[in-house]
Amino acid sequence: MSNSRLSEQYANKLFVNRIDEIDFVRRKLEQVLEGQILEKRTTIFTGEHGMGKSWLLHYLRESLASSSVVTHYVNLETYFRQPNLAQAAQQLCVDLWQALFKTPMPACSSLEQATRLLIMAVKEQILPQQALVLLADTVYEAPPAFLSDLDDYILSAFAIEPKVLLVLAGRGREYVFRAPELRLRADFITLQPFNQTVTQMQLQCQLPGKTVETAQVYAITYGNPKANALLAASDNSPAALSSLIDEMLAPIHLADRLLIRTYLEALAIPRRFDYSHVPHLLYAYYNDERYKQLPRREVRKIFDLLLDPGLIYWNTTQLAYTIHESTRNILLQYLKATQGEIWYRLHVACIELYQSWVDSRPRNLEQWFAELEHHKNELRSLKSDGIA
Amino acid sequence: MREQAVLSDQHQYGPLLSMLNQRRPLFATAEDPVARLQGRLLVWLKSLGMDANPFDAKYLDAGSDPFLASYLVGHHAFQAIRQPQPSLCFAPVGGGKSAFRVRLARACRVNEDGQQVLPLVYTLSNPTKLTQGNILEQHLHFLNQRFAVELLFTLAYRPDGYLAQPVAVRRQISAHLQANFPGAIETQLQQVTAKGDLLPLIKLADPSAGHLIALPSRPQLDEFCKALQADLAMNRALSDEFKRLTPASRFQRLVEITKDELGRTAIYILVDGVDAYVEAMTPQRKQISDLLMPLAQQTALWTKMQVYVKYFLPTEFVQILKLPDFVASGAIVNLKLVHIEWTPTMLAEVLQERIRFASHGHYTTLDQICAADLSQLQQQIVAAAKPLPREVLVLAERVLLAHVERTREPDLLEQIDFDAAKAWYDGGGR
Repeated sequence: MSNSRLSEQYANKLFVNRIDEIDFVRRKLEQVLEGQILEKRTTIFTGEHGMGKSWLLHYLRESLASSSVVTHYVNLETYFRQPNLAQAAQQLCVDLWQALFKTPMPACSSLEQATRLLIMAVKEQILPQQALVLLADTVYEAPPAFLSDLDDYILSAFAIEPKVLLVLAGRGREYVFRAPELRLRADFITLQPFNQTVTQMQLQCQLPGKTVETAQVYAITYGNPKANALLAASDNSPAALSSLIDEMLAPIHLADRLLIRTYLEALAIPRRFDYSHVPHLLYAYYNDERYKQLPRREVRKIFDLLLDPGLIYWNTTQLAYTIHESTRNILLQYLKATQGEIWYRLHVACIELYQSWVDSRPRNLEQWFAELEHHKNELRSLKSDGIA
Repeated sequence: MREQAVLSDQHQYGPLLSMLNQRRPLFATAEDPVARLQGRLLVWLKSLGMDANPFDAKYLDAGSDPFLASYLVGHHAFQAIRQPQPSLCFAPVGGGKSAFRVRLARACRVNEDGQQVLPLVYTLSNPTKLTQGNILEQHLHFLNQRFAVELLFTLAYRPDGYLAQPVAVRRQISAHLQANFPGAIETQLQQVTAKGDLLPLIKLADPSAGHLIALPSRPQLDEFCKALQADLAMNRALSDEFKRLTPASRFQRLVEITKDELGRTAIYILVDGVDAYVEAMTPQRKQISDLLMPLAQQTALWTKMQVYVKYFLPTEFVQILKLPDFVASGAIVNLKLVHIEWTPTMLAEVLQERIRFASHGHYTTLDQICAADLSQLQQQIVAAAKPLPREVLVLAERVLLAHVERTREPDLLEQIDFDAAKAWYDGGGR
């Protein structure tokens, strides 16, 4: 199944799982309909690419709508891709009006005026009888200037209304909302990969009639729904793995994709990393001594490049940066299967780095020894696999 | 002029007090080593992607921090003080009272959850102004001023609320504004018109009131200012008449207008800034009891008028105020008593939110700018400092300064930086 076909099919009948997340929003809605003033009416779903955020929002739009609930889905990408970003938020108001009231919005001279008019109309025409669920997609993907307008105007204006639920979804670096109503009164939920049982359900539902070794797929994808579907539909060859990585990087601008993929491949080898890993890993990846002297500002640029689209994140358990498990595992499988020499050099670089830290950074000895052992075991596994 | 000076004092007090606490010169020069260090700190933070010092000492007084709303942290006690009832909110100096007050004032101003409440921020930072004569009358005099300032701010923030009123109502509102406003209201309107935004009024009403929702556009503000100026010019006689009323009558009229004409269901008087009595004027602490008692005595009457006083007081005052007497004096029957307490997790969150804001989400924790051998810096800071937001902020800033002081080219924080900052903090540098 091609990516484009997959993205077109946000059909409810193909949607699987996310029961907890759906129940979470549904419970909030029930409380709102009962007249309760909820402390947190905003829900923000995050998660790596392919986790099904958009699909979940589409599902919620259809399943929550009723005679007492108006739902509306909006993909912010439609607006922030416009050439005139300054007008984008006001255009969103105009489109929301049209969608909610089926009439053109009266002319407004400013975003502020459009926001007030829209909110007033919602309060007068919808909220007395119904609740409103506004679902906004690709939030964190939007440029800060656009989000700033939504923060100061539209989203915060909706967030304070007791009968409005906001359900937002986004991937990448989190935008820090200034409005406390959006920041303090929001639930943040990270969509997790499917387990093997749900992966099986997903593949049966979305690829009917195709015989799939779920365990094999799951061992590579770690349950990322998009990767599940793509890999199951492929021939499972090394080339398919490479294509899968490209698909996982699909939201990245084409001009950056190759470079980003290189960095990700290098950073996939350590289980956790920080700035200090990068020169060593790039030196090993390119087999070029010059990378050992990579200035810190260049390292930071690399981090920004990876953090912005959410390819890496600060792991609060590991207290270091990590690549999302699904993506990392696909990268590891690919490197080991097709780029053995690079894979080997990267592990050796990690061993050298942690060995030097054992000598120079005695504070976290236990941790460095654990990492050393991990990389040595990886190299041992190479031998046991019979690879020279 | 005297009245304007009082307001001005209130706004200057926070930063000056903080600087005094830091034992820094009030006016730093280029030669000042502290200023030089701060300069280097900013350069380093900028290289990390932060456009400000997240723990800036000049904003340790929350009431003077224009960005506070952007990095407030959630606290379960907030809902308790939001309710329409009188409340006493206690916390030690630096324990987040003003942050609560800022959060509550914002919730009122933006009509959070559809509630229509007018907040009056009443900062009692200058005790000498209120110690002689009829203290209640003086309170009412200053409260009426705050009322007028807040009303003007509210009307300018939502100009339609004024422009759509019938002429007779606008006449009443404008005359009351003029009668109670501290100084020339026209000057404020001119400043708003010249600036094209609400900043002049924000400075006057509440410096921490920035970033409200859907601020009015320049044309709307122009229209409002013109309309109000015209109304003021036409209603000078009525305004003079109001000026002759007693402070209590003027207060009552302002309450009536706010509720009946502007549709507010309640008025919250947020009494703050009393830390000054603990911090700077220890011998005069007992004054606070004499000062607040007349306000407390109004509680029963004001509750009937849906005017609720919310006191944000230092914990030290629980004893000084003689709480049972205080409550009894006002026949306060439905009092909400809130003690703000902070867990280590919440204090770590105080640091995190500021880092997130200063770095635009680049960093969510200090650990992200630490070398590999320094982990859980936030937890270390929280464990080492007294369990108060201001204390952890002071120590956190000191860690950053220690790093800049130690290194020629600042890069990643190391354990030695924390150790140096902790030694400074433990040694009474604070």
